[in-house]
Amino acid sequence: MAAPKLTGVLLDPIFNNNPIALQILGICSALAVTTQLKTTIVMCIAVTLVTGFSNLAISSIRHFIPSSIRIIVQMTVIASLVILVDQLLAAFQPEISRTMSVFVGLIITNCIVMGRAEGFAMKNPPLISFVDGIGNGLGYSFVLLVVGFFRELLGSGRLLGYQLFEIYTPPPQIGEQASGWYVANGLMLLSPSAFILIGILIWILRSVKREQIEQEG
Amino acid sequence: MNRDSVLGTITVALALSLVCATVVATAAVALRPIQAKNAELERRRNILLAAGLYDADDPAKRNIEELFKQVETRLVNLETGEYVEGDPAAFDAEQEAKDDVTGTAIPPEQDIAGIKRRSKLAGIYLINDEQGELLQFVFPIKGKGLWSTMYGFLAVAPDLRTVNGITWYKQGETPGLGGEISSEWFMDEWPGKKIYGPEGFVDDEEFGNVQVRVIKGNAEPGHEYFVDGISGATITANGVTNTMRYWFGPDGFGPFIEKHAPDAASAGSGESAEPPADPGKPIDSPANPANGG
Repeated sequence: MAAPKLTGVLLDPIFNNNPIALQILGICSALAVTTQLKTTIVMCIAVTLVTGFSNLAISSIRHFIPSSIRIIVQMTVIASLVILVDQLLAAFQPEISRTMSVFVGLIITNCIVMGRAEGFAMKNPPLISFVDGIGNGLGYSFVLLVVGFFRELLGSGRLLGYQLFEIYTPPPQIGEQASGWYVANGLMLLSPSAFILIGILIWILRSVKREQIEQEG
Repeated sequence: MNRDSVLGTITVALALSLVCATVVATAAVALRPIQAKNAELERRRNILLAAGLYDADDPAKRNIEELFKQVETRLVNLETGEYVEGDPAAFDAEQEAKDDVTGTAIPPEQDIAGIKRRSKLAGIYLINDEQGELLQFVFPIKGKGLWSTMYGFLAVAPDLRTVNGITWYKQGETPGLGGEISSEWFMDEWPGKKIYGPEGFVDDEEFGNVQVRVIKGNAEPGHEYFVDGISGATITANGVTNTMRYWFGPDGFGPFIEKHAPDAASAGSGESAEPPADPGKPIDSPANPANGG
């Protein structure tokens, strides 16, 4: 395996080898936290940091990890980092921490983190592993932000909590004026809409980059 | 030392556990004071929310510290229903419930809320206006749902019979199902409900005089006691109902309400001016867990 290049490692996961769009990893949290852009952003930062630092930590100790317990070692490192993030959020962003509830803790089970630790950090030096982790976090973030953007905008007519589309409210009494014009699409607030949006996103990505289309058969 | 030998494996495992445990423990201990402060702020926000004083969208109703100045905390002896002296700031119901001196075990047959122990005292919140006139009482309530113990507040009008609002600030029910008890639509169902039926009105032995409850399906609009149920969350809803029955019954705030209600008619004594909305209507007992969940 040729030594990977820093910029390639950082940028490839965003469009060329996106962990969600191409490898279809980490879908679970993409559904759960994307109803509002604000929680989405926090989730993206959290996952990017956890992936980066878990890759860094695991890569630095990769020569000491006995192969029989390597998955457990990776899990322990990842779990510690996730608890750290969870505690920091609870202390400094209590409101966001409450809305995200268990989903911060569930970063532990995010396949991307584990996948990069096992697939990249175990074989490569620390610096490039760190960059790989950040890159994959950014790839994940890109998809999540797109999904979160459309879900919040179409689902509640807001972005980052600011009302952009005025929600239609029927006239309180006959003869009075109705206010607003946008009928919020409630489906966007439910999990299936994230599947639909990710599907559309993968479709667009693969129409542009045709080499991502899997061979049939 | 060979890293793949048994000794090597154990050494690495131990060293890693030690490092990770230290990191996690340090973070937890160092951040606890900040988290405790947040938790207290959240509790206060919920007291204000139950009383309808807090609104995140309205800048004038967002400053918790400021709003909380109109709230007076008082300690109440649950058994006698009298106010007692003491420092409400130092009172911790959870801690006191565990202690044998300050807490008491609830006999299983009375423990409908499923909480096992309670403190002998309770901190309640009196909301006064600027002239010092009492506007609302806010009672802390807690009870077992499907998965978790649910902690909340119920705001009651000065007549000590009419619900002004409810919040659940800590609960671990299924998101989307039982977790909906914290949602706006469910909380909006509560204001205006009457807690107690009139004296002698017992259309279901089990419920005694505490009539406010969550029913299965939809309640008639404007029903005096019934709150719309949540589909797929029967057990959580039963938990809410039982929490009401416990905390507003004789073992909970019943004695306090009896002593302090302005019409001196309350929990099991006295009478209410209004007849029940529909005493003949059969009730789909929400206390039956066999209904599914």
